[in-house]
Amino acid sequence: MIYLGFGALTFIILLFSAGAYGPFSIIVSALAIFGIAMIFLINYADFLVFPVVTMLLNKEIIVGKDYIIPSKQDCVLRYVNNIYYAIGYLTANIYNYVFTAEQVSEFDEERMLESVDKWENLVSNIDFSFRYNIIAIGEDVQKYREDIEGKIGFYEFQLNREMMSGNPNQQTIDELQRKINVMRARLERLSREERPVSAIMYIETIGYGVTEKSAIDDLNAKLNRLQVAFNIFDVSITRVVGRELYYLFNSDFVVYPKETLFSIFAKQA
Amino acid sequence: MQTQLMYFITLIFASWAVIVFSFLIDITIVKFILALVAIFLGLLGFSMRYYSYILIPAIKSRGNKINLYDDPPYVLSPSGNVIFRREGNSVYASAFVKIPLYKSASEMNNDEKLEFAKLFSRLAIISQYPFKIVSQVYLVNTSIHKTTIINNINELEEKIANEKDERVLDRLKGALTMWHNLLDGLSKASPRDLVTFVMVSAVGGNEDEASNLAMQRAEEIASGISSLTGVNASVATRDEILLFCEPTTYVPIELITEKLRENVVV
Repeated sequence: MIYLGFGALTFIILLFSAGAYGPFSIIVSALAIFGIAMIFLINYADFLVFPVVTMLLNKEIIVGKDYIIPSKQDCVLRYVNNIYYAIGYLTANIYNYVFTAEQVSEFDEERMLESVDKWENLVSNIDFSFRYNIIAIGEDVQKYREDIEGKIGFYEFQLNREMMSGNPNQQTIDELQRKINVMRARLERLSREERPVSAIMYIETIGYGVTEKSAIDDLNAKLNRLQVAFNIFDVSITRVVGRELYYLFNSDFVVYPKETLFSIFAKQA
Repeated sequence: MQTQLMYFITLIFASWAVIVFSFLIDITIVKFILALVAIFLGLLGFSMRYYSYILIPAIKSRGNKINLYDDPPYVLSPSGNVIFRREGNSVYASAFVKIPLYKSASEMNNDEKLEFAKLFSRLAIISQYPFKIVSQVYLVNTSIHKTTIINNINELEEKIANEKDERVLDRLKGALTMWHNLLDGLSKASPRDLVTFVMVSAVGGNEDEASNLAMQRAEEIASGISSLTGVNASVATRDEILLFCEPTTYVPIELITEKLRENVVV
């Protein structure tokens, strides 16, 4: 938010002082609005902006000896022994199963039981190589506890304000009470000596072929199959493109320190 | 990360300075050009938050290739128990711990299944350092077995051609059928294996420092996993490491050639 605020300030100043640019005021206003839109896009959907830029400039990225990210930025290509390897990634968060914020109910237990059979069926039905990766980042318990307590305090303040208002909205009250319950459940789990963990989860597979195109096509087909296969787990699956692709590729060889992981995968972790 | 922040602050402040400067100038066209510069600096500054790793090499690059890293992505240590990757002045060493989990869901009762489902969440909290848990399904490279079988078939066919004794001939023919069936079975199926491992990294000023730290963390994790799961987790070496991080080992070239040959329509 701080980055966003400071970044947007340049364009906000220009927007409000556009009159000072005489005949160019309309162009300056339009560019300032464009600038604000761009920083929001970069902040929340950089995976849309970045590949478009590299595609327009037709830029390929060398990420290692014999490894290239093509301008579309949807895979990492390797050419070795006359064969092209295309490595691709899907995000696949399974928080519902094991990292749920609330307590594990009987219903969840049933789903967890089913998940073991589903996983085995999936493994036996997929006839190509793939990996399921979880990068686990243990969090500072004290800081996590303080954050939760701060949130509970904030929600309680909002709830009191809503209830004291002349026309309290029952939907808002229910929503705030739900949020407070979730936070309290987390606090309770902490007091049972559970450690808070952030996790980045993704699936990786490799396509191959005698040409760049056939390798990418093979990869796309495999990723689509994995996407369908993992749907049985009720997970959110997205194809990784752009900046995160580079860092996930590096994660095959290095697990970065906590601070670096949080800054790279801020949205996922 | 510090560099990103430095670029961000410098460029954003530069854009503000350019805006202020544009207010002090009376010539409209110059004011407009300065506004354009401020917009460019503002966008560049904000982009630096995410893209400083690529923007600087992109400016330096020639042609259509941006060079971020042109060394091999990893180097296997001489001892064969860690891999190294150099980034700037730092060396990262990564060690791998293999977790031998062989039990199938069909052999488990409900309690065991529940325990297994919770296993990954329990594994996730065993170390204070970030680490990666990987479940890898890979096709087993059967080309070596096929070569052995084909050699056996050739050998038997040669023996059959020279053999006169009917009883020995029957036995040889039986053996030949067996090897042919085995070869057919191996060609039709694609044997798969599932391996679970943990990868942990450490950063150091040099390779020794990073390697020692990574091995120490890997051993900590291995003993944590062993006591948690009851299986004998151990630090992986050489060939096992290659299976975990080298695409040409994970998907071997022989297998690709074989698959591509199958797909060619004659």
